[in-house]
Amino acid sequence: MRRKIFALLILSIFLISLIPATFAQIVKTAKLENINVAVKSTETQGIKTGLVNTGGREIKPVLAAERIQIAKKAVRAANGLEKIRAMSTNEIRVHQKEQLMKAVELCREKGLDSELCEKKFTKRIELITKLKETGLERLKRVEARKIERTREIKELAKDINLKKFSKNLEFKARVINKVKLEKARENFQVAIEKFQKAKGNYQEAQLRFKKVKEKVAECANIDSEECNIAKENIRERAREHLLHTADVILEHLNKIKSKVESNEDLSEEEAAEIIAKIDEEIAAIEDAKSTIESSEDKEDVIEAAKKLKRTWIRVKERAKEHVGRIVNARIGGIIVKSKHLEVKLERILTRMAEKGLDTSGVEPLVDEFNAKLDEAKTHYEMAVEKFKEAKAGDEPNAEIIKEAQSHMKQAKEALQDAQKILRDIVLAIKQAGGADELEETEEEVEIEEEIEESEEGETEEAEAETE
Amino acid sequence: MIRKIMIITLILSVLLVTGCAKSGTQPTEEIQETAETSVTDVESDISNIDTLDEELDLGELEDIEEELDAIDW
Repeated sequence: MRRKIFALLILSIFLISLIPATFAQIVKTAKLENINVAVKSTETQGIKTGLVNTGGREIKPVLAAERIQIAKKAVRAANGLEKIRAMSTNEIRVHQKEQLMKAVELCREKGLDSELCEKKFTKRIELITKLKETGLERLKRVEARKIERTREIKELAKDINLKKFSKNLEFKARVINKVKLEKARENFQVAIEKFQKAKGNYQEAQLRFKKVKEKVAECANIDSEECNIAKENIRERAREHLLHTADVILEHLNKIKSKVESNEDLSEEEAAEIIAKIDEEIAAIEDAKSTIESSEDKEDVIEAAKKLKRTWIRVKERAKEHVGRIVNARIGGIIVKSKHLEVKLERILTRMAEKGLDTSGVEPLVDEFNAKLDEAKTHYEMAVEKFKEAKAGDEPNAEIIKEAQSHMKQAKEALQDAQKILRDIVLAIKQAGGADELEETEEEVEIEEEIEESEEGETEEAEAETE
Repeated sequence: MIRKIMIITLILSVLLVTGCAKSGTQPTEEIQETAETSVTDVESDISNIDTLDEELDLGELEDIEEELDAIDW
């Protein structure tokens, strides 16, 4: 008997817990259906005047359904941007609501948290319903801007120099295994320490050689024990100085090599190619180092110094090329990431416009930001071309590398200007009352992106049909 | 015995409530990235270009050629 009571109690707890969940689902469905009715009423019945009940809200359809259908047919043949531009204010209201309805449905399909996804889009649908003529005009304008930016992103995916920075890889050209990356980063820190140590040794050896050299110069016509020791020591001090010079070069090359190994802005092929070249350069310096070690008299030492200098001149230019390619690749990744951010900013403008907020202070700043990114992109691509030209030659071309570095510098400066504008944009958004819009979550973004992509796909299909 | 049943029921109720509370808050913790964090992210990336440049700068090796020329006595 007691067992039965116990079993019944557990069962009742389970059943009671199901009630709130079921209730929440019913409320969700009811709300969505209400909104669906509102959109469909505007679109198909449409009509004249009269108020349509949308679950407590009221909307005022202006255009007749026929007119909407005719307009829809006409714009379907045009591309997405022209489609938006050709829309009347009422059509933009319908269009925007349809998009948000799709978003609500997607939220539900994906089983995302209602508070974070569905409710936000539902709220936006309500806001659009209340928008007046000027608000709708603004919404139309910012929606067209968003489409333009989305298209630019699509173009980037085809750009030979930028397509490697995929959004799926978080704008990296390759993803290094976490353990391997950690190890490569540690190696870079070790390489920095080794370089600092080698530099210290180099400076000390340089000083010792200089002192002995001065002493030998003073001892030109003096025959003393001190002078004889200095004359005997100078060759050894010169050799020591040369060996430390070679070491400091080697450690610098190792530093660049570890950076390439831990760099995710370079593709696997690029990284492998640079590492292979660095290994060749390390071998050339090691060879010069062997010559120094085997030098026996003054002439040998001076000859070894000349050999090291010749090798260094070549290695130095190649090192500049490698470093330039690493930094430029970073710039490329940031450009693509920033272009995606630009679309996010346009989405913020859309949501501000839906709320009826004035976006006129933000729009020119976003345009400036865009212009700076385009400037950075132009210089980045010119730098890429110059670096390609430089690496194609058997011998490094200092002049071409210098030109590449100059373009890279200009790309970096343009990005730094864009960074300043970005701060102004955030400030302007907040001042216009759009602080909440900055809090757009990634889930919302993903849903919107999916809808934008499907819309673009529909437009492309329509274009194909028209052709 | 009835007391025992009541205690077990109470424990089960507490577990049920806390279990539900957890499932409600989890997504909030997952969704942290906003447009504002994306802005900060890009800003920090741009600032870090200089750091990368400095880490690999060859400026410290500028005097090597002169030094190698000076290896004579």
